[in-house]
Amino acid sequence: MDDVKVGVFLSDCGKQLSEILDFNALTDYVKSVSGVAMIGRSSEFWRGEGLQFIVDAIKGGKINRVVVAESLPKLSEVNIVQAVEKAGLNPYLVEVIDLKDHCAWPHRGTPSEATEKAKAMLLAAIERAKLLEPIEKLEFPALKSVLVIGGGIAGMQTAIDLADLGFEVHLVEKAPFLGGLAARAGRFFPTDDCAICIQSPASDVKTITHTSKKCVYRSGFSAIPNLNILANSKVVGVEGVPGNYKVTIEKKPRYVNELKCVRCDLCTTVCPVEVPDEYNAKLKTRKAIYMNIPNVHPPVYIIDESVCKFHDCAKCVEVCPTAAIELDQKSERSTMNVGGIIVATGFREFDSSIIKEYHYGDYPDVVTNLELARMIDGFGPTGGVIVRPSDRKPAKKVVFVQCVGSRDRRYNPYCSSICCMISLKHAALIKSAYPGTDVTICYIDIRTPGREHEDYYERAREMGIKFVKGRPTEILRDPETNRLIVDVEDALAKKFLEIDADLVVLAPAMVPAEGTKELAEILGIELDKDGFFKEYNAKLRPTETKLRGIYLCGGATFPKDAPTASLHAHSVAIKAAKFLITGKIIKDQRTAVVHEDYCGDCEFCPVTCPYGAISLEPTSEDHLVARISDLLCEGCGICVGTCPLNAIELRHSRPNQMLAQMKALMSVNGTSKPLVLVICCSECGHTAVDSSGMAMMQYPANVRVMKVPCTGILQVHQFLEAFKAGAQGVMVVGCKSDGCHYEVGSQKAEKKVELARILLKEYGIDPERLKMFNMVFIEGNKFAEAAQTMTERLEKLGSLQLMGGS
Amino acid sequence: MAQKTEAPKKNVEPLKMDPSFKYEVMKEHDGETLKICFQCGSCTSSCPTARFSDSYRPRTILRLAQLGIRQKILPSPTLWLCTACFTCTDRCPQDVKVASVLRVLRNLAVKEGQTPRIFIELASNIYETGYAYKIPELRQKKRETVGLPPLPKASLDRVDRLLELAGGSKLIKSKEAQ
Amino acid sequence: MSDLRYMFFLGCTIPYRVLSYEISARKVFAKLGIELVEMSDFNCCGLPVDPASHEMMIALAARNLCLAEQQELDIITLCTGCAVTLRKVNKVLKEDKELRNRINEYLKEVDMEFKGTVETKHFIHAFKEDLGFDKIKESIKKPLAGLKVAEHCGCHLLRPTTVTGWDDPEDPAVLKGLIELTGADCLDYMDEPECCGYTIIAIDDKVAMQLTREKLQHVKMAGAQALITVCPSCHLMYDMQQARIERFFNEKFELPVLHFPQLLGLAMGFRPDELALKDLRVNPSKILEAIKTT
Repeated sequence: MDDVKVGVFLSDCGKQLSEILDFNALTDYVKSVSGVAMIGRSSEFWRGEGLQFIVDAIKGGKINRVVVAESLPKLSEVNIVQAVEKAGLNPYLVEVIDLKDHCAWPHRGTPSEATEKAKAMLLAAIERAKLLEPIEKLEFPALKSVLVIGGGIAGMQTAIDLADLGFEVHLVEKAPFLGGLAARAGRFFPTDDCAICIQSPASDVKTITHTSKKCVYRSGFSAIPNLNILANSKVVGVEGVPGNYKVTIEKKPRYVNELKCVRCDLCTTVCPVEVPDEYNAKLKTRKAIYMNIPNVHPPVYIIDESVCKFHDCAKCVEVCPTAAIELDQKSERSTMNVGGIIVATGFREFDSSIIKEYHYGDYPDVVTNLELARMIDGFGPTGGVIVRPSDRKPAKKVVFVQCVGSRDRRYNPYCSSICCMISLKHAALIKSAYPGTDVTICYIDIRTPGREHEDYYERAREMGIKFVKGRPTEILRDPETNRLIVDVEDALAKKFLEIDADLVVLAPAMVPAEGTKELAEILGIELDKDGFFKEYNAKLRPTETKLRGIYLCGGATFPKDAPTASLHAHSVAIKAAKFLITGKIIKDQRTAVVHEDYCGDCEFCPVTCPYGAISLEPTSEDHLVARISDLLCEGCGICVGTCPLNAIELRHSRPNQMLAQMKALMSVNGTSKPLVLVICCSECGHTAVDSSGMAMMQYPANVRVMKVPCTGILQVHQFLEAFKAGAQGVMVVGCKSDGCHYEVGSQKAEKKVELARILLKEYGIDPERLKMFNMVFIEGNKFAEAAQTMTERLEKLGSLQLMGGS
Repeated sequence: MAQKTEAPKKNVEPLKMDPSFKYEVMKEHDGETLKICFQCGSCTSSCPTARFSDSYRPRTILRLAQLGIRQKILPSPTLWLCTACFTCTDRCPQDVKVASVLRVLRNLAVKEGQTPRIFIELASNIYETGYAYKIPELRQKKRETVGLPPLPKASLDRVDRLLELAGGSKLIKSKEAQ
Repeated sequence: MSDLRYMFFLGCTIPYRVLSYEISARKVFAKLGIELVEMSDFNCCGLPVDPASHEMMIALAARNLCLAEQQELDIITLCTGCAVTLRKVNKVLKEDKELRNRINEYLKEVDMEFKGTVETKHFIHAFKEDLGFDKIKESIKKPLAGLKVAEHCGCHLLRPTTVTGWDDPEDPAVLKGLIELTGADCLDYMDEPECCGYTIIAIDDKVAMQLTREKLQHVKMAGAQALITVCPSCHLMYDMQQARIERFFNEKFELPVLHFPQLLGLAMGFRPDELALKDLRVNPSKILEAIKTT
């Protein structure tokens, strides 16, 4: 190691600390440590004169390693590190420790013991600093292009945002036309405005002509050159890394050339094949060549290949004035490179035919809300008249059944959150168009959480819509009159009702879209227990997944209404833009690295890595070794803890650095109590210690804390080394098992601790000397108690005698 | 000066709730699911007998049990209208074993001495003959004439001992009390 | 078990009131090669006292299971209540260790121990699983073509699906399939899974009769010529109580109610008097004529 000159800077936080800790003794002690070139003392070092002092020392060549004892290092460290970098020193050669919350405050009752502990803490920081190495920042290319999967309300809005920001956007939609579920909704609650606005995206780009503020029917949509829309297409493969994904898209044939079709509609007039129109709830028919409704995007017809007679007929080809019909089109696969991927696949209605008692699919007059929406739509198959599908007579008595397959442990235990409002909307629209209609809603609870939703409910009641609190058990049909009977107990009136109905509308649960499982596998992201895509953290990272570069928005994470889906869509656009807009991804190399000579190709690490950062690659000697991607590695060290041959090291948390810290923390006691080493993870565990100090909870000064990125990095032999270094007891503090910030780290650590305890027992050492804890920030009191309890237990057990050690 | 008036007499006494009652129910076999009922009413609308009764409502009984209003449940004659057809258990969206909870409530009613006569009869019949009904001698003889083998005879001492161990003696002896 | 030898659990209701069921069943089983081993010792399955004491029911059922275990025979019954009680108690005792230990403590005092080695089947389970539909088809000599009947499978065999799980309560295919083997048409009718009401006949007979009446109405509406049952208690309600219901509600049904073995027996070529058809309260002569003419 070349000439290492450590600068040690002690902040006394405006003399607060020097009232407890003997700063003179600390300064004297630090002077005696080898490698220390300079010592500074000030009120604060993280800004102002103090920080300038450090900068000058670096610029003057006096120091090349920095140790700072400062308050709230998790906040102050950033300022220090940035200034160090500007001054010309590698910013990873800095170690900041907390003498306040980790020493002075929790041990204020025993100031001399606290001072001794402070000495040990400073020694640990210095010894670690001496072993730190410069770490580079790497640049990876970030393509300024994004793939949006799903062309519904969320997908379209986010695609437009990104396209307006200058990104190249590929919007892939599996249906032949955009719009998704919301397009079929007809109107949106609570404002009842029409859904046509989302049939095709509206751009913010101001063209020369006037564009509408809201309604996309009059938008300058076609003026977005960098938005590539691929309808009738699916994502079939994804490879590559964040910033540079290679995506394979399969485009199914439309059999109509998108550039030639002029929508004259002549083809449908000659097509001999007529089938029930699924889009319009089979309330009317369509031809084999069709368009859902006149105002769609792409504005191109499509042929339903399952019913078309192709060359046996080809009448449409004869009449098409622009020769746009191409019966020989085939599926096409294309690949594209994108920087990021946004999943906006939405949700769909639960298949109500599974609930046999409701006879959906069996009785034609039992429909779902989505099907009813087509009837309510003035442009729909019935021209806005509500009819009984069986005989086309107008429906004068409509009964809604809520929670079909929702809040039901047999099907979907969750509440789908929007169905109450959807039914209220439909009921109100029916009632206002046809006031003579008798409308009843059977519910378990009516949920109206959003703005103006409760008003909507009030208006519904004022309109005379009836509400029955009871879940119908069965829908019966009178075989003679063909009328439906809804069998329900009104819990509030305590009466049985057999409600006579022309039409029964089911409000089914909203479940993940078809193909969700397959897409999750292709992308390598997780689903939650209900099958929806799982965001990384619902509070703080609602649109991200654990993989960089892959995002989520809209109903794909959970059913939501249109305003919330919009919020989500705009929010994810910013996230994706932030990631890619500079054209490069900057990541530091605090990542894991494999010592290839030691790698035994056991294949444990690629499986354990939560981020898929490790792959096995062949070497020139014809065997496989593990290689870690600097781009994908998140720096947790779980692979380090997993490797049975110790072939992996994590830069900036190398084993020799950790050992040096352990030895230093155990070198000075100064109390009459047995030394306890606490190894905390940098996410939750360390914050629990912080908060115990902040709240001035007291625990004894024989307890010494060191930090690792994730407890998953720890190996069994490191616990034994801790005892050899002088610890009488070891506490490992990680995140909660189901909340580890690196997915599985604390669970892995628990296993290692169990193994280590078995070994300790074999060696005749009481296994209670080693214990694992799971704590979060607000559990500072738990930490203080645990530290106290461990100390007392060790005092009872007596001093540990190790051969050749302390 | 304002006159002091007496507090008005209460015409309706609020129902007393016993919070420990639900635990009594929940600790019996198959009674644990009482706690998750969220009062949707699926059980009641599928109940074949509730429709023909003015007051029998499984949903209400479960609600009263959750709230611990035992005095309205256990002495109630309608508690016994359940035919054990299990349609309620089948239709419940929260997997509450409705029919079983109602059976537990009936068992608890019996423990408090509220037993419809028929069950005392049936239990006594089993005690005395091993069969739930007292099959007349004539009918037993008739079996011979139509070519049926004789009826199996119950080992009464063993059956009776078993009934006693299973707690049946209180039930059986209450017949004698009548 | 592939050898069709079972311990015959008669139950309490059949010997009390419904001998026609036993007579017809024995005849049909013998023809199909099913051997019934008589019980030498017996007690009620326990279901009638379950509302009063669940523990009593379990103890009584367990004793019967032990009797079968001692004989190393599976149990076959004609009554759905007995079938499901013995099955349920068998399952619960096998799964719940605490309960099993407690019940075995009681059984010890009467020199018995529950081991969980036998199974109980209602005869339609045995027909489906052990005998097989093909065997039954072979035995049909006089298919009852043109006869329209409706089935009443009853509650115990179908619900709750988490315990029984062997057929769809909304559309019980097994009994339907068996009926169709006889050549008769099995019609669908409104509210097929409805309960017969027997359990509460002694609690409130009016409520019970209203239930029974509804089913008779629905079956009649669908156009069935007879109702087929597989349980003596259900049969009592629909057959023996039919006249009383007709009087009470001032309606006429005249709907014959047959035990399934009687229907099967007719198709297998037995004479009506061999199947105790004259013991039925509601006169079945109209159906007998209908099948004679075909």
